[in-house]
Amino acid sequence: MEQPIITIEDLTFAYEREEGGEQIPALSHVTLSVPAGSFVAVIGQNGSGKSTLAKCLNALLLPGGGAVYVKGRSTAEDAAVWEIRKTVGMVFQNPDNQLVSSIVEDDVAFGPENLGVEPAQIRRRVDEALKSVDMYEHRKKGPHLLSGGQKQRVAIAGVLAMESECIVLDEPTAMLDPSGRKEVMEIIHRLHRQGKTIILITHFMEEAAQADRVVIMEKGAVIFDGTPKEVFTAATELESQRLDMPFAVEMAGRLRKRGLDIPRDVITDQGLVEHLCALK
Amino acid sequence: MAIKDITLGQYFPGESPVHRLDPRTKIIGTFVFLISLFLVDRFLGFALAGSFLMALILSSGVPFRFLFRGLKPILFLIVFTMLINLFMTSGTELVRLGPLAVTEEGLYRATFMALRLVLLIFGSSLLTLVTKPITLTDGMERLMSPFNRVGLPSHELAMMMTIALRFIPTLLDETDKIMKAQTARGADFESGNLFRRAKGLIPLLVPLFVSAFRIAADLAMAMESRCYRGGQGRTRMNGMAFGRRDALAAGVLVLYAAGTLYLRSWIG
Amino acid sequence: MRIEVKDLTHIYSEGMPFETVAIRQVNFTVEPGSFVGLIGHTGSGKSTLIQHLNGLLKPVEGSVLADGVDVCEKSEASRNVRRKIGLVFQYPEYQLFEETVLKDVCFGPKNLGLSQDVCEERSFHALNLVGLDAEGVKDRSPFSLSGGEKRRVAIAGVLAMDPEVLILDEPTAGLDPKGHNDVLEMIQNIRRSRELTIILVSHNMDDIARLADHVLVMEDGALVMEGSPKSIFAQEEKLRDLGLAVPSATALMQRLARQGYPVRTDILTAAEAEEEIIRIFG
Repeated sequence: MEQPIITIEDLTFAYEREEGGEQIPALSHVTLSVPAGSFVAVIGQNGSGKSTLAKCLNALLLPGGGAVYVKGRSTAEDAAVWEIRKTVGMVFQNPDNQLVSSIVEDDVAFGPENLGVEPAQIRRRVDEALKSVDMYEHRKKGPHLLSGGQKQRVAIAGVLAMESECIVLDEPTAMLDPSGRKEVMEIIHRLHRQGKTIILITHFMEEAAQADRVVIMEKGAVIFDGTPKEVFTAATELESQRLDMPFAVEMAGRLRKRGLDIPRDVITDQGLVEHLCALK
Repeated sequence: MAIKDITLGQYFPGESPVHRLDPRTKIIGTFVFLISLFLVDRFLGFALAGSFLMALILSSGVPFRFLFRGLKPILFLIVFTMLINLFMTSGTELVRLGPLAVTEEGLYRATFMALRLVLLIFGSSLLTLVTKPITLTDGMERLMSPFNRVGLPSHELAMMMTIALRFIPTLLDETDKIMKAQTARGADFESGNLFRRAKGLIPLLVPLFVSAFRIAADLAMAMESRCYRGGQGRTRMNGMAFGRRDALAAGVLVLYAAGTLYLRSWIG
Repeated sequence: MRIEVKDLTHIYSEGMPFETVAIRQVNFTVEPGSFVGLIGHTGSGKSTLIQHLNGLLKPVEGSVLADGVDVCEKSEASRNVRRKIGLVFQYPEYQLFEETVLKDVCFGPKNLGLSQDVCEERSFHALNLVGLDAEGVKDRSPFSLSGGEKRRVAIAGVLAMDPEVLILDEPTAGLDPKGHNDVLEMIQNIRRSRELTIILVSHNMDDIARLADHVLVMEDGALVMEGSPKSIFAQEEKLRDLGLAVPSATALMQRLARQGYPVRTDILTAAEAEEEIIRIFG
């Protein structure tokens, strides 16, 4: 079997508060493996450890206990860091604060420039990356002229230009308006279809439900790991209240309580409507 | 929204020969020009400097009104300097207005000072008008790099300049937002004496600094994630190469510099 | 307090090459005690509009009257009326600056010229109203709080000024689902305890459906639709043309209606949808 692109083994991490060196636990014995080409969504409330997990994947944070392997190499290994960061690219929550340059195409070039790629090649990569996120026509613009969704797409292009095989997106839509969110999710799906491994950190269940696999985190531990349908089938009443449920799931639950037979694997509006039609 | 549109050192896009020069040529040229302004001391010298600059402006295609914009903020300074020089220079009196006297020397001094300042502003404005900010910082980095050996962190300085240029509109936006939010809470940024007003800036400056630090922390993480590790081994998409145009420009510069020196009052 | 907006027009960078008309000829009235939802695409002029309501921005044309007084005048009456209009910006936590939470919340009341005692009393009430434990949090540095807590402190800072009108610009922006719900509950709480007039700018149609009794729709600087939530969200096609969504419950009912079922579509909440679906399919 092909080696998974990322393997997380018994990962533990705690933040140190500066004053007094007090430890704040963030991750506790997390074990996970990500096959190449898959689309994994990691969901949890604020404080569940999901962002911390993301930063452990590209060696921004080093494990306190356990290990993270990217294509077989440990993130704790000094010599492997740059290779790992090239393989695992990251897009952050704030669209503004990750753009380095005052011109879109120069910002996308930042990554390959750091890798010492030859100039003509950089040009080619930048153009291709911008085209794959539908931002090529904005390549000469300044970031302050772009919308949030457009800025995030430029950030994604910046990662694509580094030819990363895996893209980790840490709550990329949290600060966007609904149209920006849609733009970014479309691009993410497109990239997944093109073969990239996608790890999407989010707190929107509606986004997580679009992935192949959903990992639910709570207080630093993984409390669920399965397909979206499995999540909603297995989730008990109590858990549903804690998690953010897609509207269709909430409605299905309400209707079930009123006696209608709606199977637990109905998770979209479309699915619910189809099922109701079938009932009649 | 209005503040954001005022980009520092506004770039005027174009494909003129001046636009296309290597940034290093343009930076060195501007430097030479600025120095020449302090070497000229006769009208003929200023005429040469003025016509040289005029030729550059015309061939760049930049409309004059953009250059005049750079003049606005220091107009007061120019007039002030003129007046000081006009009245405070000793020599052959031309006109007397009570205790103040206008001397011939003063008249020359004032005029020359004004011309210097105007040409200085026009010259440096032209540089930023025909060179993209990032190309400018790249050029400066290249020029500074020989000094790496004596400890000058040229790459780091250039990176700081690039990031500063990138975030100036963002920080101006932040300032606007914070000012509005505090004004909505009754803060007054306008009235009161100097001390009062300075104290009144705290509700603006503290959040602004906090924001700036937050931006810096986020940016550092993003840069590291994209494999940034300083200037070592970095390549550039926008290459820089001296071409025939630059050689020609260099020749013109040398002629100009020679001309300026020649027209100095101790020769000819 | 009644707010009347008459022929309001605002232009950014007037006279310059990049002059943009931000809002044009906007007319509406906010009745005292009402809860108004303001929706529209990003760039439709919502933020510009609300900044005119308390005099932060001055219009190029038209006026804003609060209880009959123009908010832009330099008079005592105008100043008094402006003080009663509270505005909470997006990501308000970015405006915190004081050493302690109490001092920051007191900033507003202090600027109104109130005594230290009254300021502290108001701040206490405000902190409790936003769901924080005033006693526990008052001496802490605002910067040591979590994001959600910071936001509440910022909102308390505006509430401490005892406004009669509270304008909230996307108060749930950037929050996770739990934080989002908490803020909505807080808003309902505030409304109940203080009987304020509230204007809520939001992209979330479910929130608008849940809270508002009157909806204003902006597009390209103009007010294009106005009415009750039911009447606005029933106009599915027009909203889609404007690039706007409808509440989740409404969308579901509209889907069922398109399949030919005789369901009502003037539904706004999950509970209403439940009843209607049971009525047809049960």
